[in-house]
Amino acid sequence: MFTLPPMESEAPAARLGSAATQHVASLEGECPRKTDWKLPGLYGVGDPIAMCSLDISCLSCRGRVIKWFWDSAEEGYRTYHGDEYDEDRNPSGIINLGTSENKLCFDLLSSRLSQSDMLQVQPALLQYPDWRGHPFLREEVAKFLSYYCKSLAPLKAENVVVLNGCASLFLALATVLCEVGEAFLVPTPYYGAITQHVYLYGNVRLAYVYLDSAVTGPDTRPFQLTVEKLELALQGVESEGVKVKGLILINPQNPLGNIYSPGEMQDFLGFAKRHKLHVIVDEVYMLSVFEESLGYHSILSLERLPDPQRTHVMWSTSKDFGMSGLRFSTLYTENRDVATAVAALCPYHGVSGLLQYQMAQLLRDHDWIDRVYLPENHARLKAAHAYVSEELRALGVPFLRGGAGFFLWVDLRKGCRGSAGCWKADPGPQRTSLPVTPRTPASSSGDEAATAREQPLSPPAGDRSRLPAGFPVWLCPQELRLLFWVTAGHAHPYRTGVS
Amino acid sequence: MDSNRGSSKPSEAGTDTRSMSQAPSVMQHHQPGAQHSDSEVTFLSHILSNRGIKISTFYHSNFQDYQAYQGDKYHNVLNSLGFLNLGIHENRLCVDLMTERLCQNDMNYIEEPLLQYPDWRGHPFLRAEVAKFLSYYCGAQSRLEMRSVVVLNSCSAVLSALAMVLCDPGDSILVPTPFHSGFLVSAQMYAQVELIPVHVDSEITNKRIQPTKPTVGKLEQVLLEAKNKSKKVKGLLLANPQNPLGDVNMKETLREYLKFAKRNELHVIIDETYMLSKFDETIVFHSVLSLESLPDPNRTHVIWGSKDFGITGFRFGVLYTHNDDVVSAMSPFGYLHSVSGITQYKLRRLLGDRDWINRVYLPTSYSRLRDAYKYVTKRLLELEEQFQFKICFPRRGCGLSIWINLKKLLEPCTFEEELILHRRFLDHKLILARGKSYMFEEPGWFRLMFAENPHRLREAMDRFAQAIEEQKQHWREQMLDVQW
Repeated sequence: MFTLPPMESEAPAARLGSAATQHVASLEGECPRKTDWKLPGLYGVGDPIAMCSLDISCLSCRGRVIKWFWDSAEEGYRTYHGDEYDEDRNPSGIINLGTSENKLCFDLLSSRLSQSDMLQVQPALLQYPDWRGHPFLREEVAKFLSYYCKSLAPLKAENVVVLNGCASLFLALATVLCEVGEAFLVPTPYYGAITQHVYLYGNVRLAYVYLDSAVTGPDTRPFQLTVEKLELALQGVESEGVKVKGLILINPQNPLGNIYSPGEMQDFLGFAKRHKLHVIVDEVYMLSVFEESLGYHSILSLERLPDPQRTHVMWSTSKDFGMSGLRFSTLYTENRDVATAVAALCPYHGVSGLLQYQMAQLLRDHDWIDRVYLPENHARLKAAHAYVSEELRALGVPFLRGGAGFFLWVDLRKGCRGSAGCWKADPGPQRTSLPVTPRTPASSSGDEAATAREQPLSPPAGDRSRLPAGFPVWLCPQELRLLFWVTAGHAHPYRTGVS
Repeated sequence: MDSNRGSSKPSEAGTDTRSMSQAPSVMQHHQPGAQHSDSEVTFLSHILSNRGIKISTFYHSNFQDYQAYQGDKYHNVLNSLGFLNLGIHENRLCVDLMTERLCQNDMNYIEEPLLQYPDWRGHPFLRAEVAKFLSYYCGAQSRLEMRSVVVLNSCSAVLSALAMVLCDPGDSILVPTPFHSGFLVSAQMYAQVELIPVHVDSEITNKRIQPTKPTVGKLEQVLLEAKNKSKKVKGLLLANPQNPLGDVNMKETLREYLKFAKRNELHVIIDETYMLSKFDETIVFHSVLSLESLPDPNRTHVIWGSKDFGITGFRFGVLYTHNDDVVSAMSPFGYLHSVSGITQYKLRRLLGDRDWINRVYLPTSYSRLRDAYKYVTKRLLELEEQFQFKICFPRRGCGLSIWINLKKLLEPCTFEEELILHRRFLDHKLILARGKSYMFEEPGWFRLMFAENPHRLREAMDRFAQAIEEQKQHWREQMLDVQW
């Protein structure tokens, strides 16, 4: 249940993982969020409502907390919607590169979704369905995942459950796997909206495994997750009396844009099995790996899962097919009880029958996916990634190379000014349209827990005078995820204003 | 999604409890029809959380029949022995019209915002259309505003989210019985809000027995009893038109309920999901949104959804409330109960096509509902004649079902016998909803949904008749055994 936070005027300095502090800047560049850069250890436990202040209204206590949480989290987004960039009508508006959406292939998708096979309406689609998803769709999902995840044996439709988005999947899994107040481990940085997904209804918390940008000790790359770090974090969290029920792994990783190797995944699953933890594997970017050299493998391609009854894989068309607005996601799990329990929640997270039909048509069209969509999508992602990488290098801004997803993990700490640690864009005569995100760190909900401890990455040489200017933006200095999408149809990805 | 099975609680026939009975819990009420063995529960307990186990058990026990139906649906050619489901509420009479309308070109439009993350309250274009739609069809005195609209992916989701923002865990909401068990699930599954039944009496009118509406005095009494038990009652949940009874409230009655709520600082949630499903022209429906002024606009919240257009598979539900804080607090639930952009667009086209709704859909829907109702009531009267027993169904002119009294077939008249009769219908591959699942205190009531196409309705009534005949036969044999 929702427990009311203590009525504090300020969060304690050591209070981490609080989504309460949002980096919404006023026009003066003031940032109300706290800026304690020193993280005390290898782990932390989130408290999403630590800084809630409650007003009197008709709402219940938890209703007020929910409203406050949402109002804070979405304030930046509302400001953005009130001043959206449009190249003709509002060229000085805000460009949102903080929300991870693939907008590169709308032309391909709209064309495919308009074809006649998508337009069928059958009576059964307009009526109450099988709550796990129409059988024809679950068959297609099983075949699709078998093919694209390269499973060694065909996956089964009975292990598939369909819901209206990964947010609902996180909620459903949190509810059926955890009691109130229990936690999932999650390596940071992570996609911060998960905090809200598991907490809003489910009252489940996240326990962070902090990762370092510095490559030290046995690490071979920045933000490297290891079993040792998992073990230490688990011990630490449990020593604080928080029961951990599962581990969330996002692969390909959001916001880092890299991947875990099959060997690493086996190690992490082994760790989870030893501690009887569920593993929720979010593979929502599995078809968005445009750097083939990364060598991505789905967990469903592994020859053997250490604990198949506690391994649950989620996927969605939202990212790989650029349809975050269509609200369609799938769960694959061999655990029938988990599948059943999730299915019981499906009446609240159902997908329209007509959409289920369209998704089945889409997923079965391997020919279009393989010949038309994926090659073009990857090419455009690669080109956009290359463009932004080049711009960042020229600006002398360090970043992680990535190779999957729609974003770069960028180190802007050197650009920080002011005691609040926020970067205020200076107005200047020359504007670039270097896309900077007005969003909260690596999330739409602004969970500060996404913060990673960082030391500066080695910056490439560059002209620092070309720092972006002129856009009303606000940035969190500690992490900044840039999206590098370009609008299809433009000859040049960005109107730079710089000739 | 009605529950089709549940445990039977020993109860005296015709018991008329005046005191507040124990508030039902979705988990207690629906005891598993198929119990897990101890070893299964032990295994489950290692995998699922306790609440996961409860949810899983609930699903096993309450969705068995529904799942069986989904896997074995009647088809007049391909599966003539399949299940006929008159236990779930959906208007199947105008699927042809709806299919034709949804195939028209204006429905197939795709633009970028539809494929992207939306405003979680619903796309502005849809909320604007919903405001216009409700203004018109609810007979609002002044234009309703889009800022007061939230669109989620079912009325159940709207109720669940409302329960979260209006109530704290353990709080209660008063609900007159009989009420749809889905209310119970929606209030409790996530929000942990208790529903306190306000039991009503049955009265005999024109030789027919029918449940009455709760009086304000009855509401006051139940509220007082709840407070005496230290329960925090936060709201009153009404369905108008009523499900399963099909009653509509007079304007004055509505005002009285709203004034009662205001006196006691209760929220009023009014589910008007069947507002366009009346088929008797003499019935006048008054939406709460048609009242000149609301006693407490900040605490009045109206739900509407997919039933009127027979598109339960669309998965949408709408909230209208003047309370901006409620709208704002509902927004994060839009993420978890989201509706696809393409679906929102089609809905907008549908709700905006007033000409088609008024000229084509509603007249056809009304006439088909009327014909189906007449057919079913005719068959019920024939059965009364044939088997010489009173079925006693109240006359109604709204909604999709008839509330029928089969007490005379139960001996003794208990919930156990009601369950046995329910299973007899199942043996004939006919699903009805039984009164226990509507929290009704009197055994023997069933809800029979009649908004089914004529051929299937005929087949369903044939099976109903066969089951009745078997039940009578069984009863006669029991009587003979007793005599011997």
